Amino acid sequence: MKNDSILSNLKSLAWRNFSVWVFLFLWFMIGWLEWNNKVFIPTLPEVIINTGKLLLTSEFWVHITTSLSVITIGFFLSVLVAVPIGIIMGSNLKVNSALQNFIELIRPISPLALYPLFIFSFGIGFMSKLAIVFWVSWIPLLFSIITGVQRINEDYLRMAKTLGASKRQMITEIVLPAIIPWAIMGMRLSVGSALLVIVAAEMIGSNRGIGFFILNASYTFKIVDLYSGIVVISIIGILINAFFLLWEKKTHNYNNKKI
Amino acid sequence: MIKIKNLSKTFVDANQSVMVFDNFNLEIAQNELVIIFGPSGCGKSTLINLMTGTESYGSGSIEGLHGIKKIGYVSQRNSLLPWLKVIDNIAFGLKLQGMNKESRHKEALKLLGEMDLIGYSNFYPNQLSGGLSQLISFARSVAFKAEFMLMDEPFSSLDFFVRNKLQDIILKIHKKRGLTTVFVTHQVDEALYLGDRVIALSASKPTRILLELDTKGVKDKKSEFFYKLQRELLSCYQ
Repeated sequence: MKNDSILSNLKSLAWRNFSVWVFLFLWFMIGWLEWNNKVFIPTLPEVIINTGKLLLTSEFWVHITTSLSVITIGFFLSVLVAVPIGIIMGSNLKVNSALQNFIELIRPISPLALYPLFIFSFGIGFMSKLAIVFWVSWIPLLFSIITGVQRINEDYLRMAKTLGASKRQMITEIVLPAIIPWAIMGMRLSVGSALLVIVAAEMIGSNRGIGFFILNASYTFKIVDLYSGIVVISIIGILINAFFLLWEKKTHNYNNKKI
Repeated sequence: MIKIKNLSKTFVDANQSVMVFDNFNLEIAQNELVIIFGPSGCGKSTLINLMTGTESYGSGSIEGLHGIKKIGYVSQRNSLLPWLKVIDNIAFGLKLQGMNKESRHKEALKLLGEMDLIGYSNFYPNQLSGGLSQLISFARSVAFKAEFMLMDEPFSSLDFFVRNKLQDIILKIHKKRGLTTVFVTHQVDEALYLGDRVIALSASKPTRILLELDTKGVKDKKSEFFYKLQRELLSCYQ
């Protein structure tokens, strides 16, 4: 019985990643049949071996941790700002209408267009990158939180009120748990955007980080390193997404489970 | 005792205003189970909302609620918190009061035992049927030791058999714990069977009381007296 379940899980995993296997297989075959332009497209085993070697060097980890620390701090700052503002805007129509247009005004501005301003304001180092990560992270999260708060079942609030919940308890016991699925969705968007933008920002002005590593590899014509950098970004993205999917699945347990 | 005195309530929107209550009066005695009966749209739920304080009224007063700190509320829709298990939903009011986890779980399990629902303690609300969800909502208010219970058509979406079973559980708990309860329904049988007193509201606005029936002890749905009350209740709408 247990073996059947493991087999079925493996089958499901294989099917869900079917397109990935096809992509990797084609990449492998192109290299094996030597159909690739060896200057611009290294073979799959070359990239895997090179990535493995790079991951054993401390220098490469400096680039990875530099990018990840900016993303992590910027993301948490965006959570600290977006969650309270989102709760206030979602629960108060007046505040919402007063701030809505301003946020709509700044929302379409490309973060990379603002990056020079961040560099002028905070210098070329850590702070300007933190600013751009924060900028791309907080707006999608804010909108998710606002939607989440607006969609809270009014019966929950009424019930809590009749049970004597204080304003603080309304937030901690009803609002925050109720918006978790929305917050997870917003956080996934935020971190995804942060990962995109940090690579670009590190290419513009930096001497560390994955973006810098990739650009430097292209300048020095280390094409396999360039591919390894891209692979590492992809792996980081997959891991972050997997974390949020796992969290989302946990909340789905109470949202969707039936007898 | 809760006294609703000369209550007036008007709903105003862009095009019109509707006076739902005008000098409306009602008294609810301690431990009484009062049924508010009437057709859809007659103002039954509005009356509940005025008593819970989620809607404001124009003039008049609702006396006796100030001293009541614990009001239980069960709505037509499932208001169980989906992220909490049944046991934590029942203990929710106790948690708000600051009771520790062990004590509140003990209270919740005791109540689940009284209702023969102990096996559901670790279920999430979405694993429950509609009837069970409403029963757990009721249990949450009972566990909280609500001094005043407001039930707004809690069984309206349930089938006949489940409704009958739940009515008996409500009566059993009400008898045992002596809760002052206002129960809103538009089901004739439910009104007569559950209530100590039935208040029939008019369909026309402003809403007024058409009839008050003393139904304490009327528990045999097949008796001639039950049929007589049914006819009396329905005739006031003809």
